[in-house]
Amino acid sequence: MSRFSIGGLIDRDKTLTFTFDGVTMQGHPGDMLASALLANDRHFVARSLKYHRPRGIMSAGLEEPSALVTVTDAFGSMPNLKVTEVPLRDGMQVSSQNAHPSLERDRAAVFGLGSKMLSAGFYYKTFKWPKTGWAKTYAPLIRRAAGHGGIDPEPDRALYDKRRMACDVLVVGSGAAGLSAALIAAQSGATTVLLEQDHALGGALLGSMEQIEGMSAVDWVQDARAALSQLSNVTLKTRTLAFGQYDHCLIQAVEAPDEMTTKAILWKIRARRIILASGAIERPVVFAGNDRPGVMLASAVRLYIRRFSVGLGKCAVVAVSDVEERNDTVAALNEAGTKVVAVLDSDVQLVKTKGRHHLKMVIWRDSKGRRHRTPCDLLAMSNGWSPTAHLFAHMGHSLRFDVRTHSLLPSDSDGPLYPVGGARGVRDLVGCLQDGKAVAHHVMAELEMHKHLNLPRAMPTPAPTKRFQSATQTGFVDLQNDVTRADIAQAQAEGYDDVELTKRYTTLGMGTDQGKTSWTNGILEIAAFGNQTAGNVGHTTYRPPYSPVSIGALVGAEVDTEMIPIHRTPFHTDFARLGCVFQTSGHWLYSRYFPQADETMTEAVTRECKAVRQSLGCVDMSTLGKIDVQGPDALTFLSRMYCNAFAKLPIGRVRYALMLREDGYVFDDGTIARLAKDHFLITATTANAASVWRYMQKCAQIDWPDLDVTLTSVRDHWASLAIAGPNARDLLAALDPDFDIGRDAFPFAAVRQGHLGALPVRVFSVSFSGELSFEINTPAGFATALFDRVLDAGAKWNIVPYGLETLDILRIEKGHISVGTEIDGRRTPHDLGLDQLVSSQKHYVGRAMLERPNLKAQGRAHFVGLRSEDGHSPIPPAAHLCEAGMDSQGMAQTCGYLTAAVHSPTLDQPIALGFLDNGHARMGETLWAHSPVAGKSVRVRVGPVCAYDPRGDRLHA
Amino acid sequence: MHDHPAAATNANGFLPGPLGLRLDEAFLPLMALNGSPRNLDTLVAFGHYTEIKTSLCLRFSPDTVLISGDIPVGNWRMIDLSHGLTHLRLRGIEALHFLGHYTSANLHSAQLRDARAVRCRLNHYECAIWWATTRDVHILIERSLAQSFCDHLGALAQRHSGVDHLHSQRPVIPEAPDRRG
Amino acid sequence: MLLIPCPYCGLRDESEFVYGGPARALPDMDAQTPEAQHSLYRPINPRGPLRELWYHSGGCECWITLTRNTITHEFEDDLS
Repeated sequence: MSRFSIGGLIDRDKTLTFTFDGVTMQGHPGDMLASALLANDRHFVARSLKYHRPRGIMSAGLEEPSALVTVTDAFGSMPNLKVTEVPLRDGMQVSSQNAHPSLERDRAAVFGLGSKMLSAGFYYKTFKWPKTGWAKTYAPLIRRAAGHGGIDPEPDRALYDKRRMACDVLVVGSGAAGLSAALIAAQSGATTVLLEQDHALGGALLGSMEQIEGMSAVDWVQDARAALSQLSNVTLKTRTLAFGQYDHCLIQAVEAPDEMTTKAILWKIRARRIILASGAIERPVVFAGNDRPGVMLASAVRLYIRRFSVGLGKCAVVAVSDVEERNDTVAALNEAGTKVVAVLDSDVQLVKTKGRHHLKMVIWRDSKGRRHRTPCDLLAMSNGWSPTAHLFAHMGHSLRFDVRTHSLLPSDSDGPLYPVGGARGVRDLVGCLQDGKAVAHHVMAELEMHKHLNLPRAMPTPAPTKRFQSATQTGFVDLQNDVTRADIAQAQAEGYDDVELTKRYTTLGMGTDQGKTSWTNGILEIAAFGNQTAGNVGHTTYRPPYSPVSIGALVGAEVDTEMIPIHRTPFHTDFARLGCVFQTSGHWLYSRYFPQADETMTEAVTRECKAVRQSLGCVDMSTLGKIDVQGPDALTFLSRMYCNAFAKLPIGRVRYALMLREDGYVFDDGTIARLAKDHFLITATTANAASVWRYMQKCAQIDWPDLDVTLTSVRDHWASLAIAGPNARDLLAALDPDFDIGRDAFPFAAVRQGHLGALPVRVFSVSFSGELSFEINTPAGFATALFDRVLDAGAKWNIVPYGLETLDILRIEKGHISVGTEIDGRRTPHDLGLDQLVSSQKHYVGRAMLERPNLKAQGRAHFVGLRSEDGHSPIPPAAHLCEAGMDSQGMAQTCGYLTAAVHSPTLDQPIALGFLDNGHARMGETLWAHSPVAGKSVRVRVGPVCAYDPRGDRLHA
Repeated sequence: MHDHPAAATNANGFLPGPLGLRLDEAFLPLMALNGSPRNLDTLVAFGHYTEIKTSLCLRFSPDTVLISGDIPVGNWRMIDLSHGLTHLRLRGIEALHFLGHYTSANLHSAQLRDARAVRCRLNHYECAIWWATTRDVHILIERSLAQSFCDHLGALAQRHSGVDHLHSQRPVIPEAPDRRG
Repeated sequence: MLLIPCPYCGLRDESEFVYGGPARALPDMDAQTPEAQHSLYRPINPRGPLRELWYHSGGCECWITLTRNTITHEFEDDLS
């Protein structure tokens, strides 16, 4: 164990047990997985992506490129987690990835020896022949050899959630700059949210020995935390990563709550101002063997020693370009009792490291060119810092390379997001405190919650003029993707010299870390090889998320039945009681069929169809859109909306109506009922209910504001049950109407308002089935009462409730059009055989465009009916209509296709509907219906769309 | 029979989870009154609600007022929507804050703290919300969606723990703005 | 996700709205002119301020006309 007996921010009273590759280990609350592994002397935790090189823990934050593991807990396993982002939990099982059979004896490690073989572009150049080679041979091989952890095939049992929050000021990061900004904002009265990705506040302060306001940095953090916690206008969230900035000041963050009710919560936080205090990321030195376990970033070394109280080795080499940081790192190592065997400044050149599974020696060359071999087991390195300004860049602002800080810096911001402190290149503690304070004051003044103080802002800290120079081609720039200097040089040489191209060609900056430690080094290498300044290289686009977010968090609660809202009709529970089989139809859960005992669907549907045709059935029509239209201009309004004429529609009558789009194609069909002189009720199809409602609103509000008309959607107010069949009028009589329902008093296409017994109703004599039919509407709360009475009274005629399947067959027998199949957005009224409906006497939406020559042309596809020629061969659904049989290649010239094909129980033969080129002129022709999908071809005869009762006598019975 | 329309949902008791929220459906007879904005302003201002004795007025649209109770005399067009909109009540200490996690509008904004009524989205559902106290919140939702909505609230309630830091009690400095609404 | 300044409801979340396309003068219902076809099939698509329609489905259920800068997403309409 390398855990010291005192110090650090861990709770030694409690012990947490976990396993790594089956070996039991111990840690404490306060530990990250990384610190717990290191405390158990485990540095070597992973194999690299391509070359399978041994890799250790290089950093102490989300920038970690190498140490990816799979973590298994009660909810299942999660691959590719950085050991530096996972707080230690009791019972956690951790396993290494990309190594077979084990980390130490990885077979694929031979790749490391001939690493030239897998240089940039190797795949593209090598595996291009034979033609089938890639899919069959190479891809499976490479996928086995290279990659990260495997996904858990079991469904995720954890709960996730998505929530919203709003605040005046959002502070991202809780280091010196973030805390000082949050304190000012909070104490000025702004509702303040402070997000910290770590489980403890403090950021880099947790590894600092500096003093703030006369106390230690760690104590100052505790003090600030206590001050913020007292205020009711402050929300502190730890373990919450702000991963993206979006339009109009929206930040998305993901929280991993301490208690495990919910595994992750995605927060959408709408702030008025955002203060980005996300700090900076340290840059490794590029030289051969800079990836060996035991080679670590200097800031990580200090943090593991001081925050987690972990010793990292016996003797260390320190290679840090900044003097102060170098001294601080040496001090930390001294605190830990690690012998510092060499302190290197940037006059020296790091040549390479040695060691099989762990660092054993650093080889370097001094300023006079002499080679030194220093045995050691820890190298603390740093070549400068890169500000973490990703969230600033997400909104499209680019970062510029600043020569003084030698890093990509955000430009001066005029809000709403302000980078402060480390995120804009300020490195010193006093500067960060001052910067946070100054920006918070500025923001408060902008929000008019504080007078303008105009405090001076800290300047970005210049980088040391000398840095460690890159040496040798095999130094790793990007550890996660095994990208070396040689790869970048090759990309430049082969013309992939634009920064975006270099990224794609070499994979530099890809993967789960998105180049957090490698990008700045990469840009410097591109600049060096391409002989240009780093400022001219630019950078690739920064996109959310800053660090990977689990899909579960993005999905939230929207799984299974919560995926989308489901509409139910008022008859739902009544139908469920009868054993109805439901199906989702659009956003509705709709009755599909009502099986009895052991009936199959076909048997049930056949029985339901016959009952309607021969006696009586009832069906739920509540899903239709219903819009109440009132006002002196209601008639004018509707007359413009629909293409047919109904100016003379008498009160109490109903008209079938067709609505066109502005471009002249059919939009929707429905009925218009005139309830009073200035009062209409229109119906829209289930599928188009929302869009018709929206479109009518637009016409009333925007296009014709001069018309005095009131629209109200009353769809859900009414339950609608259609009774259909030859006995429908008898049943209506048996329901005790208080109005005359005789054949002459209540003819087809009429509406009556009144009561059936005590039930208030509106009854419409309209029919989709082709039978005598009445749609009985009653307020939705009385649906059960209506349904029970209809079933009771209808028992005399053996009434049968029917569902969507039967509804569809009945309408196909009648050749009625349906949205989605026939009304598909490309049909004129003429195409559908409905041109007799279209008025030539009035103005209506779509009229002008309907006159276009191509919409009037001869030979367009027309709506036709079809029957199999022999009267019994089933017609395959979705078949294409062709004049000839298929040739030997299975090809045939199509002249149309089917929109519906069923076996008609009424006619006891297969029938179909479809669109056929010039179909109106081809009645009686015989064609092929080919379905390569079903592997069937059937001879069909073209006929009228209505296969049953074409004169419509049954409607008027 | 008129007095006892069937319920649209099975909401009649506590939601799962430790928040102890109670969701109930209660029939609310509602008429839509359409008129000119100026006329309607005499009943209730846009975006507000009034409750005087048994009469409730809700105004979420410039030219429509939803009214329950006696209809005032005036030049309106009226439509009964009693059965089309399902009225739910969510009660419990966290009722409003719970909903606020999911609403597209910020229920704790100064504007809504004042109006205590809003029509907005709650996740994928459009609904109207009003409240006299943050512990007793009224919701109106389309009847066909009501059962699905109740199920959804149940699923969300399960995802909350009893120790949500946002809501735990803590001392408040004098005169601090209270984000609890 | 935009914040849209509804003239009735104030600043509200984009998820409450349905986009209605660029605002345009309604062509004469009978006019089968090239202008009418253009306005239907070739709506203006400027880089900069654009007058457009939004339907506040999850709020006041009103159609509103706003000017949005297509480059910055800034709405130029003043709520006051």
